[in-house]
Amino acid sequence: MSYLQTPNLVFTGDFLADVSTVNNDVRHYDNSSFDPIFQEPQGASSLNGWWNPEGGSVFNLQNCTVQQICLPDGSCQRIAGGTDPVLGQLVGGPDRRATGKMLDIDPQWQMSSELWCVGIRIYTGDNKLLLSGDIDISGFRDLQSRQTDGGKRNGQPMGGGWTSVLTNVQWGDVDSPFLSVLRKTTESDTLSIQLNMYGYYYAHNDGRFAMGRIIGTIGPWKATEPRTFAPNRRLYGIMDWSEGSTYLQYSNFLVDKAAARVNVDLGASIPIADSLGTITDTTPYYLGVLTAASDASPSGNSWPAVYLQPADLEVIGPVDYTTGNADWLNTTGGFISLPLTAGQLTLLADHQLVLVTPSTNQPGQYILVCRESIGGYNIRADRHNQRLEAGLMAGIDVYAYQWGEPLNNASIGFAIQPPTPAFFGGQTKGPHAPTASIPYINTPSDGLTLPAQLSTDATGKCTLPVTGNRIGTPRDYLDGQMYYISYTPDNIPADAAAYGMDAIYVSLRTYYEVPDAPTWDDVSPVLTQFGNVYPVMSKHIVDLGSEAAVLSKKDILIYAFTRDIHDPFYMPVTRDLSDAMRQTIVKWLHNPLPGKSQPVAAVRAADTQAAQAPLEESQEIKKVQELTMAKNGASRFKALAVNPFTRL
Amino acid sequence: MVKIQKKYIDAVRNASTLSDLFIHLQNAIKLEHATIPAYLSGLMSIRPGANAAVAEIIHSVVIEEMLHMSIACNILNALGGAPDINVPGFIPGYPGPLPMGIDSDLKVGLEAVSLAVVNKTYMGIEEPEHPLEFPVKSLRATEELSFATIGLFYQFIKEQIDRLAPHRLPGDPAKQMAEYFPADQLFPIIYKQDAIKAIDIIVEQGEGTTTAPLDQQHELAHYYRFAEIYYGKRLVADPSEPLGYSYSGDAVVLDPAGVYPLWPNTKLADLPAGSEAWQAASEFNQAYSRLLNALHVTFNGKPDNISDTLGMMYDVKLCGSKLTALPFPGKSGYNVGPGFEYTPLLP
Repeated sequence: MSYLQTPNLVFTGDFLADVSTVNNDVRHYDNSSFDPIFQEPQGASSLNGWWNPEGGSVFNLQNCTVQQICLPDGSCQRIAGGTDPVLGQLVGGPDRRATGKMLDIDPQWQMSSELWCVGIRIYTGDNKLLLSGDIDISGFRDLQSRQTDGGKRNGQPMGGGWTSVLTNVQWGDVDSPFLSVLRKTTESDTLSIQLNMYGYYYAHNDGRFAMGRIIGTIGPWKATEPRTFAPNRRLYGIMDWSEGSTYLQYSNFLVDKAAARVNVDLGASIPIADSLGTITDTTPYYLGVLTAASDASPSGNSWPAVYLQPADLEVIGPVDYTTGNADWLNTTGGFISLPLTAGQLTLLADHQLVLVTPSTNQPGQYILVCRESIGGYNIRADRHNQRLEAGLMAGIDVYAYQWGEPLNNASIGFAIQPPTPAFFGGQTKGPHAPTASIPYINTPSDGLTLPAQLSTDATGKCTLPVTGNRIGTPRDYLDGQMYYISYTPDNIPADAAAYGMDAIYVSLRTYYEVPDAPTWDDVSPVLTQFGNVYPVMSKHIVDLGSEAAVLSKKDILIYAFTRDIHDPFYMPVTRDLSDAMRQTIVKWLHNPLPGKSQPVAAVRAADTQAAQAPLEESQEIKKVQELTMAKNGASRFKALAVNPFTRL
Repeated sequence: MVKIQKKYIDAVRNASTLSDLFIHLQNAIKLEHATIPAYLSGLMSIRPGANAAVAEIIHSVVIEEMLHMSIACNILNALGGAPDINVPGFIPGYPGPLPMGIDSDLKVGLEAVSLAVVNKTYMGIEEPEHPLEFPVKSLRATEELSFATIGLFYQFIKEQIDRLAPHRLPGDPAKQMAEYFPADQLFPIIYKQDAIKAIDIIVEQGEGTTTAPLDQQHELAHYYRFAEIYYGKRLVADPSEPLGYSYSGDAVVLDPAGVYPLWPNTKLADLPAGSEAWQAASEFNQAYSRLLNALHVTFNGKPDNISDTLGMMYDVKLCGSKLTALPFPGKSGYNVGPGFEYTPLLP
């Protein structure tokens, strides 16, 4: 099932994400070289604290309304001409508890920002509830280029999506036939939800600073399905539109066998002209399925175009979108549903879906715009961002699907990527450029223990057990270590267009023993560090670098540091503090022993295990990196690899 | 001083059943709340890091107003009523009289802090009828009042509770909220005497006792804390003075350079639609409204919810800090003030 399965509902509107940006440059975590200018907004020639240093990490919906519902018989209703009471209703965040947060698991992994404590409500103009639920923690995926204007008004052109589930679902009293059907269809009173976003503003233009557009699609969920990615099939854009940029890069789709329809989400991928989702594209797109007659599966990246002959595919139908304004995305969310003939349905069982456009140079032929992966595989990790303490194990589910069905006994290989330098720094020149070194990640290689291979079960799932081992401070001034774990299906044809940049991202905490009698010296380095990188705290709430100030707010700090991690008031908001250090801080707050005069730097050096010296970038490592990046299609990825929320 | 309209005093004095008092406790809740936006506007006008002593004084008073509001909610629940917090009209219009206040009298606005605002508004709100003197009035006095102070209003409520309530109050004890304040200031109100004791706390924290500027916790009553800002010196014990105290302690400095020039009584509608300032002001109103919604839940049968509201208060504070730093579009030399406008439909 999933959000692509009908009955589904689309809402559209705006979202706020008050991203905190001092932590964008990992070097800002080094207390000894911290410069107060890192807390200032960026200047003309100096990045400083980038574009929102006092961000508070709040995430919320604004101005959203239910625009469309689609039913299993293929019919859809919109506000104009629709009859179901859910249409036109308001969609918002929580109304009587704190708003949710958006945050990264580690300063050296900022490409999959997570939603925490986010809830949504659908309600009427007189505040009657139709539906509410909490969104499971989910990191965004499928970053792709959207704006053909390059992000002129807003500062960046990317979009991305969060896939998740709605839990703790409350069904309101308002009588909506659509919601009744949805409730009966879904399992465990849990719903699938997809949030596609684009047009986020770094720039102070149009009154939309720190805001963007959002499309939310809610559909039924099946209990055997993953929670943070759609267990469906995917289309991959393979056409170079302009100098290495690919639009329509990732689109989820579902073949609904019972209804004999194909449902495609183009809301996350269709090119838009501007930050508000205006479409100026006039390309006629058609969905099709490759025919049995075509053995030559189009493969690889494509510049110039790949041409398909009429016999190579069976055309399913046109993608019906409107151009000239933002109405299509705003009212349909880019959700397309086309009927299938019996023949097409049969073909789709083991042939690739394609998106094509008729060629003008070669009449009668089609240009291949998007295609499914070779062999129809979709392999992804659920909950791919993990925080891990030493001595604990996390189980990360990885699912394999082929042609939309769970793939039993698929062999998947896992490996920690090689030690890699220079991730998530920033400016290197100028009088205010940070002087700390950017730590290597993925080292020491024995920081994690995990198997090299697993096979999936009949539900297509295998669970990767990752154990955190004891590490000191290989990143010197920054706690813990960031590990990127590649997962690669064995025995599956290489397909550079597919699988994107997915990996499993584990933030392993430094092993630390809570002292019996912690002093200010034990807690001040990490508190000072937090105060440095989160001026929203240190300037507006409490100067975390000052013992006296911290003690003056002792009670509220004890409260904040002892929340459940799912509580919106949990501190630190970024959830990047080890449990041992958190306990140490709480212990100290209860009995605040002063520090000795021993300099902090010396204490830190004593704690650090013999840190692995940064490796010389040997030929061998370079070769491995190149191979890894090529395998992941990252040569193209690199050009597009910007998190809209952290981009320079 | 806040002068309560005579009709409210009369209504309290004419109450013949406990449920007749419900509306008056609701008004007391509104009144205790109503000063908070005014004081918070002053607090939020202070630039980060500046005017620390002044900020601390205002903050300490706001905390106690929240205590008074909690006490009033507890009393209303104890009498068998129910507080109504998340409704339009709970927050008064600013500038204007406080709830129950006489319109021609003290007008309270949402303004940046200044010596004039401290003197006219903050001290005006908290001023007892006679600083350091408190006339004894009896219910059976024939003397006609044209107004009453908040202290007198509470005294009449107290006397009516004493007269009308059974020893054990009829409300559900499970609704009592008694966290985050010392137990001798916020406690479950189960018996009549609890209600009476609780009202005394409210009065003395605002106005002080008859012989000292201190309340039961030996802290300065609000009026005198604000006076410290106005006179620029701490109020300390002074044996050389007949009243035993004088403003002769450490300096309390209010530096105008450390205050954002807020446009007084900013409303959302004053700001250009679609501007960043409008969006920030809207988010502030939303955060405040969410908080009122959560307080309503807390004081209507889920007292444990109070811990969620703490985090929301910080959200309000941070929204406010962001807002007051913004220049007011089209009004040169001014920044945006917090609106405190209740938004029933939260987007």
